[in-house]
Parts: sequence; structure tokens; C-alpha cells
Amino acid sequence: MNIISWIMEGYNIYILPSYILTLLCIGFLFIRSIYQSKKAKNLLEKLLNSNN
Amino acid sequence: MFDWLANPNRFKKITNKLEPLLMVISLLFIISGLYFSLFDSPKDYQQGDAVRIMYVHVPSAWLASFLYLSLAVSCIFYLVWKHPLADLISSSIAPIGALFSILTLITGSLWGKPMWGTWWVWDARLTSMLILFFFYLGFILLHNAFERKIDGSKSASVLAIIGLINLPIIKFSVDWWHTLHQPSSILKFDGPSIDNQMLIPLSFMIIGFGLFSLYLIIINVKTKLIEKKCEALILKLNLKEIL
Repeated sequence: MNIISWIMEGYNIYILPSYILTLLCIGFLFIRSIYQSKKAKNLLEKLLNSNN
Repeated sequence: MFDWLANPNRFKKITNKLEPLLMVISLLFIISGLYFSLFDSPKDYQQGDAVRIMYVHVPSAWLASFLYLSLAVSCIFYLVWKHPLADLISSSIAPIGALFSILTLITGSLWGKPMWGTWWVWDARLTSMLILFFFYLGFILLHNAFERKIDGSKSASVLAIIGLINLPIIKFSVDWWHTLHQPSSILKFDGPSIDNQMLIPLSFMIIGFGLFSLYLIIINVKTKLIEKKCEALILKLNLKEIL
């Protein structure tokens, strides 16, 4: 894969940000979901312990 | 079917098995879709390499619309049949759909600048997609605006159902009005007018994004189920302290 293929006729300044932004958004959704899930699980565990 | 799935325990049992499978399959589709769309698909004879933006723009647009349809259907289930999971499903879909609709607008702008010479035009397709994003935002804000959660859920559900009118406008705007946005080239009565070399990577991305969204929705619904359990436990603990 040479450098020419990354220049994409000069359209790389539009193409690459599109892909990077899309992947960042998907990554953000994934990390946010996992973080919230872990947070909720920890809270449930604490509450269950204090209930016992 | 929905009745059967509406049982939270049964939902958890099924999705526990489905979750890792969805994650792996969606990532495989996305990674291979990325490879095909960036390196293996041909240039367009008019747009050149800029056509590659389509492989992230179109899946985002389709998902933004499809997720809104799913959100509105679960709102109907919530309002009419009072299914316990329906509200959790719609509130889990909303942030994902909102992000895909804003992605559609941004990637569309990034394609519009080199092709149309402008980042934005008040074209029917672009404007209706912006309205879809506002409906998502409205749903999220309304859902969290009330002190009593049930009030928020009901009013947000009504808004979501009203917003359904926007979906056919998005789809047919390019046929009903003379727009700068090109007409549909995949979902057509006489079959897709796009070459298979482009259709295959596009399908890979659509399937990958779709499955990944489903995976995220499942995680979010399960998180909300745990949060409900936590709220019930906090109430129980508070009652114990009072008594």
C-alpha cells in the first residue's frame, strides 16, 4: 500500500475525516455502554451487600 | 413474540448468548467492509475517490432512519400495551440513533463540499435528516425532563410517534422535490442501479453497523434493567431506615 493510495486524488482531506469520525463515534458508543453497564453492576452489588 | 420477549429474565437469558456473537460478527463485517471500501472498491467515473465517503454515509443514514422506526414502534408498544421493556428499548435506541443522524449530516457535508461546492444546502433530504436529528434530541430531552419518570416516558413516546411522519419525507424527498441530493440508487422498484463492486462493501458496512447497533442496544437495555433493580433496592433500603 503506497502513499498514492492514501492521497485519493486529493479527496483524502474529506474521506479520512469521515471514516475517522465514524469510527470514533462507534467507539464512543461502545465505551459509554460498557462503562454505564459496569457502573450499574457495581452499584447493584453494593446495594445487595448493604441489603444483606 | 413481543409478549414472550417482554419478560426481563427471558430477555436477559436470550441476549446473554446473543451478545458475544453479535459483537464478533459485527466487527468482522465492519473490518472487512472498511478494507473493501477504502482499498478494494473502484472509483466512481464522476466522483472519483470521493465516492468512498458513501460507505460510511449511507449506512449511517439508513440506520438513523431504521432506528427511529424501531424507536417509534417500541413507543407504540409502550403507550398502547404498556410493555415493561418497550420504554427501556426506546430510550436505549435514542442516543445511538441521534449519533448516526449527526454522523449522516457531517459525512454528507464532507462529501458535499468537494462534489457540490458547499458544506450545506437547505435541500429537502438534508433538511428532513436534520429534523430527524432534532426529533431524536427532543425525545432524549423530554424523556429526562420530568421528575416522575413515567411522565417523561409518555410525552417522549408521543413525540416519537408524531416524528414518524418524517420518515417517508426523508425517503421520498428526492422523488417529490427537485433536490440537489441524488435520487435513491439501492432501494428502487427496478432493483439497485449501483455496481456490485460498490454494493458489496456497502452491504458489509450496513450489516456491520446494524449488528453493532443491535449489540449496543442490548447492552443498554440490560444496563437499564439493572438500574431499575437498583432503584427498587434503594427504595427498600430507605423504607427500612424509616421503619
